[in-house]
Amino acid sequence: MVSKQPLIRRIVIAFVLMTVVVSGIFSVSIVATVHFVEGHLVPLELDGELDNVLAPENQGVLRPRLDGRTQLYATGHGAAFAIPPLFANVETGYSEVTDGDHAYYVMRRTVDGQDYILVQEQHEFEEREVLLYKIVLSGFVLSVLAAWGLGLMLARRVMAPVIRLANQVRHRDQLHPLAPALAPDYPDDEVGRLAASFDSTLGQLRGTLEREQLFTSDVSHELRTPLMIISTSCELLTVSNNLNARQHEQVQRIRRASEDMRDLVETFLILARRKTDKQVPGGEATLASVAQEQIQQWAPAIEEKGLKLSLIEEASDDGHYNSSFLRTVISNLLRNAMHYTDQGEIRLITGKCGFRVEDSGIGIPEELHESVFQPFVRVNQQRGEGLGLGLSLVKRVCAHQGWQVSVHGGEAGGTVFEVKLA
Amino acid sequence: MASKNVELDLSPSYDADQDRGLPVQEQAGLVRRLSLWRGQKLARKALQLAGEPNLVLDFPTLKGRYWPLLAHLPTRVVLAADSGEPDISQLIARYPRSITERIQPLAATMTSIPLDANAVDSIFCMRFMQQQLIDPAQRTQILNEFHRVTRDTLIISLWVDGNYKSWKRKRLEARRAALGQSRVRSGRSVVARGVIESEFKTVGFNILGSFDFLPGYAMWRVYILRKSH
Repeated sequence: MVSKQPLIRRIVIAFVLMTVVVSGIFSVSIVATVHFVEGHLVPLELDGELDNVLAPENQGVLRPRLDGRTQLYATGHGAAFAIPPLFANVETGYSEVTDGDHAYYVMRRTVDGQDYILVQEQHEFEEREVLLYKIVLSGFVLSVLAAWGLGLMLARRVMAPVIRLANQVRHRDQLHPLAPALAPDYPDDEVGRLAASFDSTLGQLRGTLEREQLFTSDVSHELRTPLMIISTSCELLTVSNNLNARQHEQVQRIRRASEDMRDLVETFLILARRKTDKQVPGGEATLASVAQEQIQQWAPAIEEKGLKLSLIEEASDDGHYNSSFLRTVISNLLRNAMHYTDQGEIRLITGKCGFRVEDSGIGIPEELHESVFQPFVRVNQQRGEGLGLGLSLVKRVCAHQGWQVSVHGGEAGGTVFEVKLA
Repeated sequence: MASKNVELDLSPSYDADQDRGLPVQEQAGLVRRLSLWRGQKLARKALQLAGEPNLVLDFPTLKGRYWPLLAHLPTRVVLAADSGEPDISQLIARYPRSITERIQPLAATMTSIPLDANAVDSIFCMRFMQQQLIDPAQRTQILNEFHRVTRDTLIISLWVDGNYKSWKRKRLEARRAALGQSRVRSGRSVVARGVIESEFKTVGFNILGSFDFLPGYAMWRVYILRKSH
């Protein structure tokens, strides 16, 4: 089982557990020793004292020299030594007798038919025993507490570089390129090596991203000229009179496709530029003018498919936006709507600081609303052409410009894409 | 912003003295030197608690007072926000190259920082923010912008209530109001601890810790906040 506790807690738990085991063993052995001593030393002591009492030089006269907690009882030595009923039935040898709160050690010996009983009160011994147990218990508790404190202190100290590194690597990919490397901050130990490999991995990742960006930018740039040549050649072909109707139609298709490709290349080029580079070509335009232009551009294709395309102005907006980006966003949303709508209509509705593209198409399941903006995600693999890059492009353009794009289901089915131009 | 508005409470004329070209040693009395020392100590402790950030966006005080401290860590790069005041290029000229070679000016104001989200390890704002923080809406705007730009921590210094100085100030204002006089130093504001702390939380910061300039006495408090994830 993999433990899910944070590392610091695991170290502290290990410390405390180890101390519980070690000091627990010590405490238990102290208690066991006390019991062993009680069971073996007390009978020896009592036996010795009884030997003294019954020593031959006493000549049968009992003159015990005992301390206050020890009593001698015997038969045949008068009332002074009469055996109390409590001890009358004790067995010969060592035993313990309890009487309510009192407990006694008893040693019985029979000499020449007479019984001798030496009785010692346990009271004092028990007091000492209890005191000892208290000391052992508090020692145990204190050592566990000390282990906890020490473990926490040590764990914090040991873990500090790891925690710092963990905090430093979070979202590090988004950090400004000026950020210094991590490794020089750490000594050349395990954490330092981890930091160094993180640095190098992030460096490689950044390098790759940069190369990809350069590649996209270069390719887009290089593609512009041939596309322009295709486009102008198509135009020249169209105006020449040597083509029949069928050839004319094909040339028109080539021209439309190359224009689409040029738009796409333009957008890739813009997105491949550095994010901070706000100097993008295209100038500024109002939402209304771009919307109008896009409606005109898309109307033939959409109407050819048997759909109705309409532009509705709910409220006027006098803001100026980057025309290239706005064109790309609207164009991609309209293309997307066209691909996924078989009948009914597509509406471009402009309002204050934003617009919506509504269609009466197949709609997007709610669970796909988030992922639909990811590259290469398509709602229905069998439908339409393309790689599913259109919406991801829309998302990237919006993120670049600080706009917000969202998708939800329409009231009468279909899909609504809403863009807020902040 | 007038220079007195960004002054340290206990050293009202420190910067002005320097401007007159008087050597600090002669001018700086014991209290001033102590307060400067304490200010540096607060900043050092704050940076330590923030995990010694590597890439710091600094909103410098009028004298760039904390630059030597920030540049103390050899692996640290400091982006100094340049909003025109103080003049960063002049400030950079005041300090030795060893300190300023790792300080990069960046045209930015508190409400608009031209950096992407999570672009710096920490934002270090020891500049007194009384004036900017009077209006709660602007306060939230600044905190939101800080939250966006910092990847990990925010070190921010401001005046809070709940101490002797703020109590005295409140009493003085009440007395002046009763006499019909204008309010004292209306450009500065003291924020209630509870209010600002709940605002930090609303914006999305966890309070990592706070240090008082003089606990229980002075109003100046430095908060160290970490972005909650």
